[in-house]
Amino acid sequence: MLAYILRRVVLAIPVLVGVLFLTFLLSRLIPGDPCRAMLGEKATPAVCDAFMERTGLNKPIPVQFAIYFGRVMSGDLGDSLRFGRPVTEMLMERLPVTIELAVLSLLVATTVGVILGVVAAYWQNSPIDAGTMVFANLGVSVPIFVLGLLAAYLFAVVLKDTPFSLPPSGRLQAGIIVKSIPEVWGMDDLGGPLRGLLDFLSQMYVINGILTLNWQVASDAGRHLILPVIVLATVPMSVIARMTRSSLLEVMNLDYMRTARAKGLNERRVVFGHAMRNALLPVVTIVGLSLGGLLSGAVLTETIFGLTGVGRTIFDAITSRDYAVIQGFTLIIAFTYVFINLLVDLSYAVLDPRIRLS
Amino acid sequence: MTRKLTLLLSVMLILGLVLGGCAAPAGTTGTTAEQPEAATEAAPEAAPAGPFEPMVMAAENCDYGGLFKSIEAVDEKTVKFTLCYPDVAFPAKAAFSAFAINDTAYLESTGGGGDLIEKPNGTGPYTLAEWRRGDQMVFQRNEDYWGDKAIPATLVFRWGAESAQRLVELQAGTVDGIDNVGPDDFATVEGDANLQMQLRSGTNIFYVGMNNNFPPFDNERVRQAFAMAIDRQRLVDNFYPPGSSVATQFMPPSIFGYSEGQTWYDYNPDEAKKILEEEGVLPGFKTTITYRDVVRGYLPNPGIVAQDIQAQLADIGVEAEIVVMESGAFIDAANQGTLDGFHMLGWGADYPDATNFLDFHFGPGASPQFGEGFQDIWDALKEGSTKATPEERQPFYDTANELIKQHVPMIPVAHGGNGAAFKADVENAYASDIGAEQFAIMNPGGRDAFVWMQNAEPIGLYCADETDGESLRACEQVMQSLLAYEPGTGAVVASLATDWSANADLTEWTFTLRDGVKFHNGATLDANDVVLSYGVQWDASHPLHVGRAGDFTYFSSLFNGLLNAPK
Repeated sequence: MLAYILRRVVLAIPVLVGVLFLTFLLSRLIPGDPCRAMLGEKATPAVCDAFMERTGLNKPIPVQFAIYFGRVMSGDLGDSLRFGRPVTEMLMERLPVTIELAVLSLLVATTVGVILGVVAAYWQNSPIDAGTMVFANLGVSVPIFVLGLLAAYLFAVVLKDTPFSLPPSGRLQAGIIVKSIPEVWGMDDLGGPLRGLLDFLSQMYVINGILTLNWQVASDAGRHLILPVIVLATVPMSVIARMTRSSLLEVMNLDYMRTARAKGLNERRVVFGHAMRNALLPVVTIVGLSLGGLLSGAVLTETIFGLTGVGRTIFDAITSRDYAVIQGFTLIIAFTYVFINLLVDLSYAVLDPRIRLS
Repeated sequence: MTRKLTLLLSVMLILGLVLGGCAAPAGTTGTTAEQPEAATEAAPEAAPAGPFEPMVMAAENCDYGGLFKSIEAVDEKTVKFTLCYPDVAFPAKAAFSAFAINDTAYLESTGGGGDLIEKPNGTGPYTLAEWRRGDQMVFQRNEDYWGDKAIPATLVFRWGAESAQRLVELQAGTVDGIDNVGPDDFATVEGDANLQMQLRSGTNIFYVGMNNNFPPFDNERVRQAFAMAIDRQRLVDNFYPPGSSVATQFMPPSIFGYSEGQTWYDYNPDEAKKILEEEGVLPGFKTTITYRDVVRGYLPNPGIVAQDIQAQLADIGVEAEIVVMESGAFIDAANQGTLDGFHMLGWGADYPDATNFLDFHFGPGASPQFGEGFQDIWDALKEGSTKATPEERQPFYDTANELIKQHVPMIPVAHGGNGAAFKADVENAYASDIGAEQFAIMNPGGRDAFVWMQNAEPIGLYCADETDGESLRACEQVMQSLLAYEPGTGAVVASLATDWSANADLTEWTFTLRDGVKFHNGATLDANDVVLSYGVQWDASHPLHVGRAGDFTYFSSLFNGLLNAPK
């Protein structure tokens, strides 16, 4: 197992280098002048010349790539052209928003999706089956931005001043102060990786609120997450529900299921004890890929609900030709995908002992 | 061999990432809660001032091409700017938020960048309490403010890119005001008794340009004919939001230099066609309409407007092909004068003065966007720029506007308006034409906090080195310039300077500073603060010429370049 993991990690390196190269190249192919995208269209040629010189964008592309690659090798993802801040700093600030949103969404999507799929398969061809699948199809069909705006309008405006009212966007109510975990814990002087981790967690306001026992922050951040989580969960939930149903139906028709029933096992034991484990294999793949997708591209959800996460940042970076941000964030997304794929592969062995990783 | 190389690269990359991660300094994540205290720390109590030693910054000569010759602290409360050539619009520029005044000691302590960007130390009605990156900005009332104290004790800035999202926030009551109401939402706001709409008259101009270096646009009569062929009213009625107006001239109505009563050619396609036939342009004239597919306040629907103009030209027998260019390439082509057909472009005010519109586009230093310039327009603009008072200047701009109508270097089409919306109970709500709202004078229905939602997050709060309106608006709450734009009218009024005057040829501008003005760190404003605040922007070799990116775009653009700029 360890050898397998090591080999996968080593094989991932050329993939990441390839992603780095392609992202670098593609970002340079975005039409437009980075100077005017950054400094405005009224920037004079003299100002633009100075900008290109300062940022090194006047150098030949291969030279730019060599410099950038060297910096990445030393752990430096460069500075944002637009914000003048290190990309790693921006990642530490914006990745937690996306992780919080993506993980909660996937939790909701998986829980609801699997339940719906099992229910639909168990009562196959019944009105319950039809109802759940119509619901799942609706989830896949309704565009995110329509669903998001409708949900925001319904819960923030129509249900305003009722117990069901929810904030339409943002992360916290205006004026609520958030303290970092090290600050609350009296560990201001702490440095190193632990400090980095705690600062990272501090940006996840729900977790921050729980760890610092600040229930106002935890509950308000939670309320702000309800709508984006539901909206973002809709599509993967629908896919998981459909996949669970079809996978379960396929397994339930196999010989060993007939044997299980012939042995006198009750139906619940047959489904949950024997069928589910095998039926979940493709579902796990979908869940893994969905997590990768959610972490990398919740652009619409983040935009509608005013969350400055990874997707929104990359979108803004592309429109403003902020090359370092595009490259740095894409590299992290690629890394996430590779890592999640590895986890998915490893989970196969746990779920199905017949699979041997070698 | 390949496998070994891959392995080596892989190991190096892993090591690099691990080492890089370990080397990252603690606390670089910009953790939110540290900022309010840090903001206070950023402006430590100022040390007692010693005897005043006046500061001077000067260029050896004016050969570098810029406007400034020297900036001099005459005494503690008087500062003099000596210019290389006259600039009648200098007060209007001095009111711009990019030229806010910093405390000398604080400026030096930050090294010209760093804390200046996230922990501004100004003289304004608010201090920055917290900037939670990606989420919100919180300002607290400056209790030592020299003027009327801010009405809301707390001011919160939030942002959202989508107009629908901002409107839902306002309707939900979670914010008190929103910027840039979507064109389709004006009716919703106006029909909601809980909301109020505040319109901005467009301080911009959308025009259809022609270059007189290319036939048939080298014929003035042909250009006049095309001026009659475009139904500007139809374009504004169909494709512009409320608050917009049909342009009768290049100058927007709310900016000095606008000529009351000036008219443009009436829409008369028959007459246009007749002239074009007489001049041999029709039949058979084919041309292009070039534009960039970028939404601007002056052109909210570029694609549809291009199609409508194409259809209007087709009505008189002109076959115009629509060409869409990438934004930067389009601007470059226009400025280089290489667009040989019609081009759709516009301009928004940097500062409220005719020089920003007319001199920039039609003066002797203008780009060849419209081809060769016109000597009579140059003469009028030159005369206008050498008179000190608005009353003396206006007749020359009237002449210039009339000459522009005669020569038709472009067809002025529209001044694109937009608007901000507020809760109905917000008193003194207004939408600044130049986006410089002062929230300190607004009363949010007696509530302690005013929550404002704009399009985007400010990039930095050292606005000398910022160009986006979102940053500049945030700076306006904290920082102040020598002069200011009056809320509502945009007129240039006193701020940190109470008086200002120029010599006869407008090359020396002297400002008298207000007494008793304190920075947020307790330091007292003096003339050296003005000299250094301007000087670090002006002199590219100054050790404090750092900023966020170091471009100082507005200084370079409005004052014609930097001293000691890198070659």
